[in-house]
Amino acid sequence: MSLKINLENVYIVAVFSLLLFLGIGNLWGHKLSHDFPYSYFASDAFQHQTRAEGIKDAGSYRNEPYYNVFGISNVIGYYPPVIYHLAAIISHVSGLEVYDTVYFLPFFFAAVASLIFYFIIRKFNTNVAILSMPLTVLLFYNGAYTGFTWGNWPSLLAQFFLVAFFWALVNYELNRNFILLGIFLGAVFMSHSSEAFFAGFVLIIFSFYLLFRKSLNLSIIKNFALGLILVVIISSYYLVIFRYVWMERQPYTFSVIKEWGAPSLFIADFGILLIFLGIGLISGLLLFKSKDVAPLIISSMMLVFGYSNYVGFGDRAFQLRYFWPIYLSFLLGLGIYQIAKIAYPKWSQAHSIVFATIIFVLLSFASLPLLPSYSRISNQGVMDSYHWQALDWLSRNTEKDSTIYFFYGDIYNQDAVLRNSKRAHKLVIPQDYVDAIQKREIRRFYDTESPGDGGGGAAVRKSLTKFTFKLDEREKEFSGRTDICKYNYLVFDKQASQQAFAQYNLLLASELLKKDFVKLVFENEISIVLKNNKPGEDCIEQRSI
Amino acid sequence: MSKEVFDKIREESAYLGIIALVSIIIFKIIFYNESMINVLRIVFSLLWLFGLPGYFLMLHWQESLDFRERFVVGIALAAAVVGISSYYLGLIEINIKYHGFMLPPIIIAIGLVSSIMKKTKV
Repeated sequence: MSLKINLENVYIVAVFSLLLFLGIGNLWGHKLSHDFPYSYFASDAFQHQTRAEGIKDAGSYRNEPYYNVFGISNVIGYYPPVIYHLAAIISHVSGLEVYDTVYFLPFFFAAVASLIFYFIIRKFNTNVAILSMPLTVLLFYNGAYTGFTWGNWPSLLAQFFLVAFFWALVNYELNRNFILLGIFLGAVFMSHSSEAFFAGFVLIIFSFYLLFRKSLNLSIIKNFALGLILVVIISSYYLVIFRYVWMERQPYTFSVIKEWGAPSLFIADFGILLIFLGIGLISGLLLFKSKDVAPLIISSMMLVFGYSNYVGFGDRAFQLRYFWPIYLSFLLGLGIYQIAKIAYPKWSQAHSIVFATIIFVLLSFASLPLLPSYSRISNQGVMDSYHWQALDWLSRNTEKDSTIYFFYGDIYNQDAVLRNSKRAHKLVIPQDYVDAIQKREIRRFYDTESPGDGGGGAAVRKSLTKFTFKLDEREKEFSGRTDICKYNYLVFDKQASQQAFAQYNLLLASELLKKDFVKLVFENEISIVLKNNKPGEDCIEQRSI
Repeated sequence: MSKEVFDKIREESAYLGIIALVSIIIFKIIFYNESMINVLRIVFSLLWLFGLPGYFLMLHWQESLDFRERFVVGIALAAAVVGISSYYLGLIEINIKYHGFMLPPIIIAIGLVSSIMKKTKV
């Protein structure tokens, strides 16, 4: 191998390493294993963690873990399954906990996706590929980073497979390419189905592109068709669930939104880099007739689809933006290269590597006006060791059919956290708690919610294509005033950000303990767990304080 | 014809070895607060589940693609195959705790056979 190729290899390895270092490395304090789910910042993260954990416990994803779906058993496993299976398998093989592996995977695969996109661009021009890579640091910038930290992991994994699908698309001349197309698109669909629809649009547009270039022939059409047939075959079982559960419970509705309920990436966030992105876009368009600009097709399509929130695709468009630092990297690389070639006609790969390194450093560590840069996060997140200890205790030491009532806790508003109890559970509604505190009342009945995953309607299979949605049948049970005395276990936080909540918790707990059938079974610095040995009996004297 | 394939594997096994070694070093640098045993475990897991199976699957296209590209894309291919296969194996009640150990050898075998058969046809 010549030195030039070795430099490129070193660069590729360095890019991959830097992305992992800045991403999961910094986020996790450069540790791999943790005593509890670490750096989890939102309920969705716990939703996916508990689902993966449940699949590992059960050995399969035939059914949803019952504690994820309001305590209802035999609910069909309805979420796209791939990330959960990968997380569980890596947990088994590596010995790491599922809450670590399921979070590690999106970072690892995002870094690999950057390399795959590098090879897509490299077919066009190696210098452009090298100069494009620095943009990928912005995967961990502001709104884009929340895709990782807030738990949009299935979408991120699907987009990893989407990038692989794009690679297969631009390598359409490979022998038996339909195998790659089919497997990658099937994996997209079974990781997070909405991205598969965007993949379909790109396939159509890319076909027109090939037609324009007079490259589209019967063999390629046959290849694409075989790929689509393969997708249907490999996703057949899940396709039925998608059709008869997802499309029934969450049918597509045309919804135009300008922003959604989570931080996002906007084109203006690229700051001064927009100049280079613009030059790259214009250059690509000018080269359209003379050169194979397949990466331009992908970059521009993913830019457009990222704005499809304005034409009815709602929040799915915002999820695509998490990977804009990858999709749009071609535009940056081409923009810089066009300027570099004019400035210095003898521009070489070595120059590209040096210049790309400088951009990497600027985007990773500099804090300059109009220049976006990496947002370092290193925080333990919502969970702490004491809450985890309590939830873990509940999952191991309570009867499988027991029910748990959670009183106020600061972290419980991210209610998927509570699924780590691995039991059917309820949660007091804070507003009613506030009402009781303000009226100085000890009550037996509180407004209560049933946290759980209602996206699939708690579908139970009746036949191949028929499902009953248990959520509809039992909806009345899931909210309203409830008797705390009917639960087997009652959980109180001893500390809270609002002192009044903590004091009221402790007061309730001490009142309950006056009954001889209510026992303290667990306590640590944060949590108390009481066991009610006579559910249904009068367990607390209602009175004014 | 299978000799050609095995010769290719022998030639590229040095690269696989380098990747394994470099991966261990990189991961230890990235996760410098982690124990060496955990670093070795995660690197082994990733190579076992994605690196090796992906490499063998992508051997089918060895004439068209260089080693680097095949290895990187192979990670995605193996991840897809492992994830999807595991889902179906679970549905037919083969417990997921076995998947990580049974799938890679099967995928490697499929990749090997596929590339040998392709060579034979040519």
